[in-house]
Amino acid sequence: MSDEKERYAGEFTDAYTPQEAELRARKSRNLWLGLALAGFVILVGVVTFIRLSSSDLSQSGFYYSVDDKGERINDLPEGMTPDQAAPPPNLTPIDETQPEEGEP
Amino acid sequence: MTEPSATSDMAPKRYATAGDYVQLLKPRIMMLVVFTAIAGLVAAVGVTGVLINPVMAAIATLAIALGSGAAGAINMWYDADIDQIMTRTSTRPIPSGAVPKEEALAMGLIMSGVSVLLMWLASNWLAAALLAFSIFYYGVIYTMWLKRSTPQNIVIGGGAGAFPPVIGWAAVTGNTPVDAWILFAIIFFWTPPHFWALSLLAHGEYEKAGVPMLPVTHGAKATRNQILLYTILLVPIALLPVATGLGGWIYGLVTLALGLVFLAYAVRVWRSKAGDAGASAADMKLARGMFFFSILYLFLVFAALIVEHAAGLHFPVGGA
Repeated sequence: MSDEKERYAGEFTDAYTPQEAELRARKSRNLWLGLALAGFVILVGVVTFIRLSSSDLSQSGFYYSVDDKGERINDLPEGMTPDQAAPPPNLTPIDETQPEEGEP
Repeated sequence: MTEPSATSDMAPKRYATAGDYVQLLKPRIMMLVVFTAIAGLVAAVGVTGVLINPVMAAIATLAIALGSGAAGAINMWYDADIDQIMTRTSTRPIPSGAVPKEEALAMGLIMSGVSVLLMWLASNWLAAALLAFSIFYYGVIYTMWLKRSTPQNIVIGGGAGAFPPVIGWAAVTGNTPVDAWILFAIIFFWTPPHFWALSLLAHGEYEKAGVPMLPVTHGAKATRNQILLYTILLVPIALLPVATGLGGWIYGLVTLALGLVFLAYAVRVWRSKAGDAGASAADMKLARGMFFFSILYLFLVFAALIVEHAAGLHFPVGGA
């Protein structure tokens, strides 16, 4: 071992040993970098959550649609409440041409 | 990787702190950018009635701040050679040896990507594209091309700083109507008198660094003429929002009063010898006063717009 040391003496510089001040600075930078990355992940998560929770996909009634300005249009068929996910199979639309009961 | 850079032979060896990285982002410019972006955002909500989720609005504003910081870091990376020549900029993180150039570039590029991505997620592709273009405008068109090649550098380059209210508006509505571009024009025409007032004070520094600022290439008198010309143009342009209904009585009165003071400063600087070899201390004080007033001017003009639309105090002139 000592022979090897003597053999390669002067060919390789000593391993770099950082000073305490440099280590402190490096630690501080790593901490801030970690916090920044965590912050970015949280922000993307928050944005995704808000986008999905306000998305039409999450609404129970897929009968909602939007116009060209992004405004929601309620085009539910007559007789259907907004919280219904789909029209019940036995739904029969009201025929508005027919007079209601009690009317002449 | 985080060893002090090769430029450290001009400064004592020190290690970068978090504060050095914050300095790379040019926080004072960032504040003005964020403020004008918020003005665009609030005005868009007030004028169009389109609502934006407050959290999304905050994230969009953060994205604009990050974009501004990214452009600042790229600017400091590219300008490190001239920054170390000028006294005013020699203590910046790169010329002082605290932050290696490559780290500043990496930080700028990564933050650019993050800011554009965040903007896209929080609002829409148009706002994200405008943010990306404004970073490119400042980092490449202004910093790498215009700044060292033409005395009109800050006139054309002023476009980069004028984008934030347009981006803020686009983040809300997904489009950029005339009102948004009027806000752009206000900052665009404000930039030359603002920067040239500063360059009258520091033209020796720019000359030393070889930056062709107007006082260096055409002299102080030509610069004072241009300051007056752009201020004369700025005053009516700043009143355009009153004509379109974007600004109401409060905005109109505040902007008119501030514009007249700004114009008075420009006339006094024009009549002075500020920037000349034989300029008195009073002349230089006048140019310095105009520089600081220009910052106050822009802040108060956009503050008036925010107050009108955010506090429900928007009373259109003529009841339009």
